[in-house]
Amino acid sequence: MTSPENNWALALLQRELRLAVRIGGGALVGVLFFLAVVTVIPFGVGPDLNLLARIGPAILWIGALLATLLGLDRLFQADRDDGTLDLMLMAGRPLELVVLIKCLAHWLATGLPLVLAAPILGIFLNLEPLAMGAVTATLLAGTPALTLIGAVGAALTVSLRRGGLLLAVLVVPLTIPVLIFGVSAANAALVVGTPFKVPFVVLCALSLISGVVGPVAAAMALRFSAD
Amino acid sequence: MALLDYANPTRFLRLSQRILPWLTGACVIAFAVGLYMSLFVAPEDYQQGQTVKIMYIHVPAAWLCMMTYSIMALSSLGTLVWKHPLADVSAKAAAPIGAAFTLIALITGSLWGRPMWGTYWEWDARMTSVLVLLLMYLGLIALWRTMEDPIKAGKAAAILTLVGALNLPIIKFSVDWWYTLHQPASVMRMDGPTIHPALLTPLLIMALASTLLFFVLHLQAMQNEIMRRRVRALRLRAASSTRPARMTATSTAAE
Amino acid sequence: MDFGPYASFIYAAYGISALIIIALIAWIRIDRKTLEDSLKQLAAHGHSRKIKSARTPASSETK
Repeated sequence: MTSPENNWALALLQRELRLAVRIGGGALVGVLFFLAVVTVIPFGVGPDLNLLARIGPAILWIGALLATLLGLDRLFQADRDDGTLDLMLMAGRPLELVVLIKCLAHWLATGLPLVLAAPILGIFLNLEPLAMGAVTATLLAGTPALTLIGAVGAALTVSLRRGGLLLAVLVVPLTIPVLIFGVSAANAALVVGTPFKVPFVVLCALSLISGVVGPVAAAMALRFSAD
Repeated sequence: MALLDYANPTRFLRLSQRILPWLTGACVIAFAVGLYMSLFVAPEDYQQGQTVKIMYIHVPAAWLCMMTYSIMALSSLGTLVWKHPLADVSAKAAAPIGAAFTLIALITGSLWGRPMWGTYWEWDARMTSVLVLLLMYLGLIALWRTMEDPIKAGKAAAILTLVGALNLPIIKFSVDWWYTLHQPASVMRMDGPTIHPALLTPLLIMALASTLLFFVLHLQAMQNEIMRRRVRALRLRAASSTRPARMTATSTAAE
Repeated sequence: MDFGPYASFIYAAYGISALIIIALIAWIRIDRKTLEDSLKQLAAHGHSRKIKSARTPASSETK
C-alpha cells in the first residue's frame, strides 16, 4: 500500500498540515474571520430573528466564501519564496498533484474548521436544526470547490507582493455557481417545496469539476511564473 | 502555416495600417445606415412601443461583449498552445473594448428596463450574467495592470481567460437556474423567433456596424500595444546601457 | 421624430453609448500620441530599433 509514490504525497500532506497549524500558520484565523463576518451581519440588517433565519444560510455561505478566498493568498507564496516549489518541480513530481495535495491540506486546515463552525454560528442566526444540517452538508460539499478555484487565483497572483485583494476579485466571478447551488440546496430546508437533491448533486459535480480544472490551471500558472 | 506570416509585429503593423482605412470607412457607412434605419425608418414594436429603439444598441453591444470574450479566449489559446507572439497583444487590446461594450449593454439594458419593468435594475438572468461578465473583464484588466512583465502578465491572463471561458457556460446555466427558482415568469420575454423583418433589418445592420467598430478599435489598440512593448524594451535597453556610464555622475538615479 | 413617452430613456441610451465609445476612441488616440512621443524621445536620445544590431553585444545580458 505504501509505495514510494504514495509516500511523498503523504509526506507533503503532513508537512503542509504541520505548517498550517503551527504558530504563524494562520489556519484558525479563517474561522475567526468567519465568526467576525457572521457577527457583523446582524448589526447591518438588524436583530430580527425571522429575517436572520431566512437569510442565515446565505450569510453562512458568503462568510465561508470570503474566509476561504482571503485565506488563500499565501497558498503558494511561501513555497515559491523559499524555493520549495522549484525543488518540487526539479524532483519531477507532477505539479498538478502537488497543487491538489496542497489544496487538500489547506482545505483540511481552514475549510473543514469553517464547516465545523457553521452549526455553532447557525445558532446565532436562529437556524432550525434541519437548516443547520443542510448548511453544514452543503458547505462540506462546496468549500472544496472554493479552495480549488481559489488555488487558480493564488497561482496567478503568486509573484505579486500584495495579491490578496486581486485574488478575491479574480476568483469571485468564478465561484458564483458554487454559491448559487450551495445556498439553494441549503434553503431547501427553509422553504417548503424547493428541491434539495438537484442543487446538492450539482454542487458535488462543481466540486469534482474544479478538482480537475483547478489543479491543472494552477499548475500551468505556477510553471509560467517560475520561468 | 499562413498565420505565422503575420506573427511578425512589424508586418502586422504594416498590414493593419493598410486595412484600417477601409475598415473605418465601412464602419462609418454601416453606422450611418444603421442609425438612420433604426431611428427614423423602423416602426415601433407592438409590445415595447418606441423603447424598442434601445434594443438597436443593446443587442449589438450584448453580442459584442460575448464575441470579444470569445476572441480573447481564442487569443489565449494562441498564447498558451501555439505561443503566437501577437496573441497576447490581441487579448490585452480586446479586454478594455469588451468591458466598454459590456458596460453599454448593461446601461442600455437598464434604461430599457425602467419603462418596461418599472425598475432600472432587475436581477434578471441575462442582465446578471452580463454583470458577471463585466466583473471578469475588469478582473482581467486589473491583472494585466498589476503585473510588470508583459509576457508573464499575458500568460497569467491567458490562463484566467480560459478558466473563465470554461466557467462562463456554467455561470450562465446556474444564473438561469437561480433566476427561475426565485422569480415567477412574469417578466415579458423579449427574444422570440417571430421578430418582424422591419425590426430585424436595422438590428442586423447595427450589429454589423458594431462588429466593424470593434475590429477598428481592436486593430488600433493592438498597434498601441505593440508600440508600448517597443517603448518598454527601448527604455530597458537605454537604462541598462547608460547606467554604467552615469553611475559615477548621478548616484540619485537609483531606480 | 416622436419617440413617445419614453423619449428621454431612448435619448439617454443613445447618448451614453455614444459617450462611452467616444471615450474609448479618445483613450486609444491619447495612448497612441503618448507612445509616439516617447518613441520619438527615445530616438532623439539615440535609442531606436535601427541601431539594435550595433548595440546588442553590450545589452544582450539584460534579457
